[in-house]
Amino acid sequence: MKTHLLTYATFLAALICIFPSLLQAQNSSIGSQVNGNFQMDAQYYRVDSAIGALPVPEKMQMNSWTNITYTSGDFNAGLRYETYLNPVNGYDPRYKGTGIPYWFVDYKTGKFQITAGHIYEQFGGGAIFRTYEEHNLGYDNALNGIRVKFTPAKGVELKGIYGTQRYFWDKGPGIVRGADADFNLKDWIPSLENSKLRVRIGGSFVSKYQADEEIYNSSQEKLMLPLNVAAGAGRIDLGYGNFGLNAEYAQKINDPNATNNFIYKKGESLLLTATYNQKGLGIILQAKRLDNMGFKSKRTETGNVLDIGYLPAITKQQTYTLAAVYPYATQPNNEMGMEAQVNYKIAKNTFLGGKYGTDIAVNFSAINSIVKELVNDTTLLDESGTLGYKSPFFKVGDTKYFRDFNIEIGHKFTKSFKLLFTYMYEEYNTAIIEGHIDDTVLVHANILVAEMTYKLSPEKALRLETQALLTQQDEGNWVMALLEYTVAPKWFVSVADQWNCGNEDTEKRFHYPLAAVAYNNDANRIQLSYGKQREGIVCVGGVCRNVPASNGFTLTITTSF
Amino acid sequence: MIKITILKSILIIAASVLVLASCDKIDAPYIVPNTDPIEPEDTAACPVPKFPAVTAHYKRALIEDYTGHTCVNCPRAALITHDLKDKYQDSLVVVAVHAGFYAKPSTSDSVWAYDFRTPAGTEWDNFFKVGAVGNPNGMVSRKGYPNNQQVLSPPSWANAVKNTVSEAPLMDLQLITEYDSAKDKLCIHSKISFLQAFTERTLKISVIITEDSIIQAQKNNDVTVGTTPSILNYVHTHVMRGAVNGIWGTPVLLIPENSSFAPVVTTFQTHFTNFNLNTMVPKNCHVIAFVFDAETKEVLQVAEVQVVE
Repeated sequence: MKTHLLTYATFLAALICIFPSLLQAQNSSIGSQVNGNFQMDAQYYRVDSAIGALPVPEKMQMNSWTNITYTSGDFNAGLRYETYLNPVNGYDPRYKGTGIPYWFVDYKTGKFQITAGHIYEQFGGGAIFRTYEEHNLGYDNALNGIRVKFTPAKGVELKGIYGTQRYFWDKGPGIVRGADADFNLKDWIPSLENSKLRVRIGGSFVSKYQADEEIYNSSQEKLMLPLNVAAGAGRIDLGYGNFGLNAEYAQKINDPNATNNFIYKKGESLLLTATYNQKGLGIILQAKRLDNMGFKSKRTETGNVLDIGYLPAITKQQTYTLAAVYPYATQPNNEMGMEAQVNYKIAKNTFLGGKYGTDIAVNFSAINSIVKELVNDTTLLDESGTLGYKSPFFKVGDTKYFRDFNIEIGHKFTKSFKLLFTYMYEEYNTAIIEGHIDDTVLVHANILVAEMTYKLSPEKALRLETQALLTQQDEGNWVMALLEYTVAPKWFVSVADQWNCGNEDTEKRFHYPLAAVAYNNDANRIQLSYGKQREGIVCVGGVCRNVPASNGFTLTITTSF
Repeated sequence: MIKITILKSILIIAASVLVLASCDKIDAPYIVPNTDPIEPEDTAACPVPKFPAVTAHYKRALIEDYTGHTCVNCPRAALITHDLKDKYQDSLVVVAVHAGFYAKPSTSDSVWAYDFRTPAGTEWDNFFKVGAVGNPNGMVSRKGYPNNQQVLSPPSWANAVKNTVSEAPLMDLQLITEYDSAKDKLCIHSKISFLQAFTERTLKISVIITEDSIIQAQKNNDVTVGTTPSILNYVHTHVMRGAVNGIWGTPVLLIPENSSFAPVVTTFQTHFTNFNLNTMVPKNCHVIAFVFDAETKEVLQVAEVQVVE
């Protein structure tokens, strides 16, 4: 801790000393800027034994962060102060503490851009390298080290990174090194300059080093571990007129780790995306295969931390509360899936379009396992200390992980009334996605949502959401209603209730009410809400944790300047 | 405008009330009986035996495997502890602490209705936040606690055990048990012999009882361990049954600088019925004692003996 304090103090002292001289060194016409933002979420808890909201000894918990960024011409510096005292319900308790986990300095000079400190970066789609932070999910895998960007010629960008990753208030044990090259061929091939064809290619390489450690296969055998694990990826981005095609393939060499049960098979991933866009019509098709691609900078880590690669879900991110009850989570070591999305606008002044037009969005996604075959007759599937399994690249596995068919229709009936209707059918494998096995593995759910917005005046609007989740599995049926009143741009009031009306256990047919009021003033917002939150289960890498239910007040303050 | 100002004030006042509401008003009586009583040392009931001389001193490691019978990934973690125990033998002591969400007994299904939770295990789980990070996870000699790094994933236990047992021992810890089945009386004698001097360090000793060979159902998702999704005749081992001398143990002594290295002998008396677990089988039970730093919680030495040889 002393070392950290010394580092912060040195960094702040350096900033204080450097800034005035930089300001003098800069052309006065460039000027300088300081920007910042702040957020605080404080929760006050009440005991509610019926829904399982347990006593919280400190009664109140709080997460907060403040970002400050200084910009002067080609020079940037910034830091983020975070405090979790103690982390609010649902956050990893290892965030407990206060400090400056993130700071950086960055400058451009000629064809170089240098960043030192904590870095958020992504190579291509991120399959083998992406560092990012998402406060609301409690995720931050920032790389603490250096980044060099070099642009030797127009249309060429080379990047290199070197560092260790954030691990709550510490750093992960692995050292991550990598490089990426990106070429925009339009800038290289004269004949493409005025062509409708767009071609962009890129490639990246990442290597992780972690010192040796003892991992036993049995009391008499230990594993020979690779200290350096390399991954490479290639990508191509093609466009012609309204069509687009993007492909990224990545491969990783043997990386025995806790998430793959210490097998030595190589990893592979492929993501294909095709798009078509024209006025009133948009189509996206995606296909994905992930095989043993969990890649972390600590081989024994099982939690949602220290990821080097980023493997997004190709399922629709649902925003309505009941539609998001069964969200899909990417299975980095074993999944194969596809998604199709069509957005169509029925033109105005037609029979179906009416006076204002009608928006239709249809989405379908299907995710299954990959096929796993025995390596030989004497080795079990996924047996640690072996190659684990063989997997034919193009074969889809039999285990159904997730299905989602949804259709969303939006129609504005009058200048002041709009209706948005959503129907969704989902199949959700609790054993795979949540990692717990009950009598029912696959949940089948039908979800209906109707959202009506009525504008009372240019500033005032009423919004009503009614939702229903119908299932015979898990906790049974749910219904929900939400009424929201907005007086733009300052005020916002809402009341809502979720009711588990179809729970088989009649004593568990709980209501989860929520009421909120918020006040906005320019870039500042203060929101106070009261309500009950359902308990949930979060599983990552073979480790599951229960997020207990809660009942209480939440105060959120956000500001920026 | 006045209305808006009033509304803003209400919001700010409500926010302030939220902060001010975080207080505990304690009404009399201010002194209440200890719900976690510790039986006083009773050397008359349990005469202290002569401890054999120890010729080789070595440091032993303690794995606390936080687990639960409805945790599907936990049998694999238990397998890791078995392998490590095979490898390190007496240098390693294992405790399976059933605590948290996945250890809760089912109210609707008798197969999952059994309860291995203990007050001490639950309190430790809440304090060290192991279950809050997820199950299975654990600690090795409770290292890393003050820095929030105490929770270790099962694959990392091996390295932590290796590092711990390679450290020079600060003390030796011996245990002797005497079980009187007729009186259901168990006498536990511990002897701490310091090998190094400490400076102003508060030490505590915790004594707990574990039980092996309990056959009960366990959820499982690993075919290499057993049937999925449940192993109905799962053999539970190292199950923590209760703490003999309180949730956080009892003080050893405050050692002044330049300690005289005098050994500390402590005697505890307990009864199996104290744990309210009449199904315990003494021959399958072990007594585990560990000495830890009261401030950092690090376990400095641990010992284990069978209740009945």
